[in-house]
Amino acid sequence: MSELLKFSPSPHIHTSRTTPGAMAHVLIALVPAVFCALYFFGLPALWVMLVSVSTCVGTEWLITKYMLRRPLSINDYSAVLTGVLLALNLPSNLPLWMVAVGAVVAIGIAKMAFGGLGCNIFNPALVGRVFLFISFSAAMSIWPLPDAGFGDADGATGATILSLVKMGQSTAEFTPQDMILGNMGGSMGEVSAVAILIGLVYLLVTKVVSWHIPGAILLGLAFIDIMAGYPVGIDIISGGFLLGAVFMATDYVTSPMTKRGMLFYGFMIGVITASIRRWGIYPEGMSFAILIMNGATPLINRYMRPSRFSPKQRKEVAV
Amino acid sequence: MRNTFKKGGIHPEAHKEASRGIELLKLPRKAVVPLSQHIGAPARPVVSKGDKVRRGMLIAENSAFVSAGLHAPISGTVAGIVPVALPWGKSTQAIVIEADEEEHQADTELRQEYWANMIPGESDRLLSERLSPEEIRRKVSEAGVVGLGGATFPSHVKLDVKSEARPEILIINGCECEPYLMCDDALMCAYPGRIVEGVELMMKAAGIGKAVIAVEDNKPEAAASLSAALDSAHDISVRVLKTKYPQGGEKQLVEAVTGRRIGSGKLPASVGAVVHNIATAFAVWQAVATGQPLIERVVTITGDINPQERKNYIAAIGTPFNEMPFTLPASPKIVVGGPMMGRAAVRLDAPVMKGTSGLTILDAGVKPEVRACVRCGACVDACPMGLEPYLISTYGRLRMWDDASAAGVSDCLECGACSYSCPSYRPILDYIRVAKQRCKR
Repeated sequence: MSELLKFSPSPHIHTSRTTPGAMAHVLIALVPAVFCALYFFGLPALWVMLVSVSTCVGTEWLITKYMLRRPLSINDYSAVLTGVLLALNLPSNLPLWMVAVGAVVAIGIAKMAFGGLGCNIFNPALVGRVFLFISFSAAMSIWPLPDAGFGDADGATGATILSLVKMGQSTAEFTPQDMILGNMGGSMGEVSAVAILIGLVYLLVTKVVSWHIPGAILLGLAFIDIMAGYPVGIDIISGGFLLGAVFMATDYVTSPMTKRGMLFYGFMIGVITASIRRWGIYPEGMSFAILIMNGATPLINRYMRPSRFSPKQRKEVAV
Repeated sequence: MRNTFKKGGIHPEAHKEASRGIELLKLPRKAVVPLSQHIGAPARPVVSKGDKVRRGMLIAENSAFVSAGLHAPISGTVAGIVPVALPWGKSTQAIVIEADEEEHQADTELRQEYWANMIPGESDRLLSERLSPEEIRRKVSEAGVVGLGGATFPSHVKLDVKSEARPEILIINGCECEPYLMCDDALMCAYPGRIVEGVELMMKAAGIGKAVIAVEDNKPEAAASLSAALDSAHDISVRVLKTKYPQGGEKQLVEAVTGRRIGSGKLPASVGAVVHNIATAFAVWQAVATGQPLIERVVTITGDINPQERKNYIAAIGTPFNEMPFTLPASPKIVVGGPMMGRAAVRLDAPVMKGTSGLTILDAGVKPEVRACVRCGACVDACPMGLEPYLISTYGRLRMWDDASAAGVSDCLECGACSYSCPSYRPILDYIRVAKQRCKR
């Protein structure tokens, strides 16, 4: 035999989709939100972003190289994505050392301690954010007011709409237009609804995420809001709802495998978020809701399996 | 609204790039005919070393009910019954026939005449009316016809239905859902009338009153040519299905055509259907109408080769791959069959067999890095059986056979949709196969 033939079991062809490709698509989808963050919050936002991303990537690199001694995994962009998402969840005036602490917790504890990409139970960026929120509640509750036009921050701070609502104060100073475009106080990435929705459209068109999780979250939120008599529209565009529903809850690793499971998971996130916002002590509940349902995901995978190919359709579990 | 099966499925790039015509591939001077080319007992040789054989003569007979005879693909002298290597390296007994120049010339002329005289179009109903079901089944059995879609199950067994389990519908699989392959497409375009006659013979043999020829909507020419060969007198219809892999899977096809789902471990007969491949229908016609046993078949040669070399050939069983006209790419992987379910060959001197629908020659290049499972659910969405490939694969890797069995590993048809769709390039199906093998024992 002269030629050396390649050999492998079937199938011999493969989709062009790759895991790093999916991560890259999400990063591209985040470009409008990142742009808005820089536009509204200026240079400090850039610093937060850079510190967050570099600490995330650096932490993963150190852990894979010196602790796990595994092949480097930072080339799959997942650490970059965690860094960007964490930054978008923080106020732009957060001291940079706190940002770094959050990033180390996100990658070191929430991701690598569980075994790296694919093994983590909780969304790393959200764990980082909640860690910071609980540890440094004061710093994490002062939201700089936007100063449109890439300027240096003037140091003005204010409450978010949700905290005003929680304190029973008027939100009349915000016009709906401001709220949709992002001209209000809040974390770097959550303020502009339009930017996030552009990202959502991109993710849906490229089929990186399906509509099930964001759609079900919306449904769950609307369900509680209607019961509580709160305007659904305001709830959607305020706080971290959109950022969470589009970019955090749809994380492959920590969300269910089946469409049915995704619907249940999403619906419960919506219900928990709205419940915390309406009746809890915190003004915002998105992070907690997603983390709670991340924890429930293995159970959802266990009990909401795909229906097998069989003559009698198994009864669908009600969502 | 075009039907397809409901659950899972994928849409790989079609790459149906071979020219649709069929050419005669030169007869080999030396044919290697393995005794076991079908499901069931290997055939029992009826010739021995030094015997003279003529093309089409029986050289090995059925050794059991589920078995298929073999016929000489070329005239010549039996050089021996020796162990030879199958494409994937396994050794098996085979009858080797060698032809001298004279025999080779005579065979070539007879063969050219046979194919030149074949009328492509209009069908003739008389054939199936003249013969009794038993006669048809006997001729099919004598001709060594097996399922040509790849399963190679002896056709006469499948046509021999007990009267109490008589199916209502015969489904002829012309889906050819595998990417790259075009042998069925080419056959449907070239000899629609003969296929229709073959289907009628099968209906008569099995006592089935209705037949549906299923064709995917990416083969409009084939569907049109078959429709043109049918008239209202036929109880046969052409059903165009929405293209989706693996439509040719028996359970998927029956669901797409009838809407009925076959239970786990059951056969199509349980829902009143029986499925045969389109090329089998043609082989049945050849066997009954022309008396030519299954000694040649349509083979697609395609893939990452010179575009002019992508063709469909009528190749004699026993033709070694290295006598076929193609140039190997830089990093060749020769897949026997289509790229989704075909097996990679490790030798080029292996022969074409009854189940060889084509050679897909791929430029394999560098294998992409396998990454961690990100639990994206793509494999779950792709599985046409509603299984959880990621889970069964993990059970297989961890040797948790009982859990794999409980998760339904025996339902897996090994279509490869899970491995295909995995963005982390995990060998999902490989571990599922291991588990499936284990659970079978």
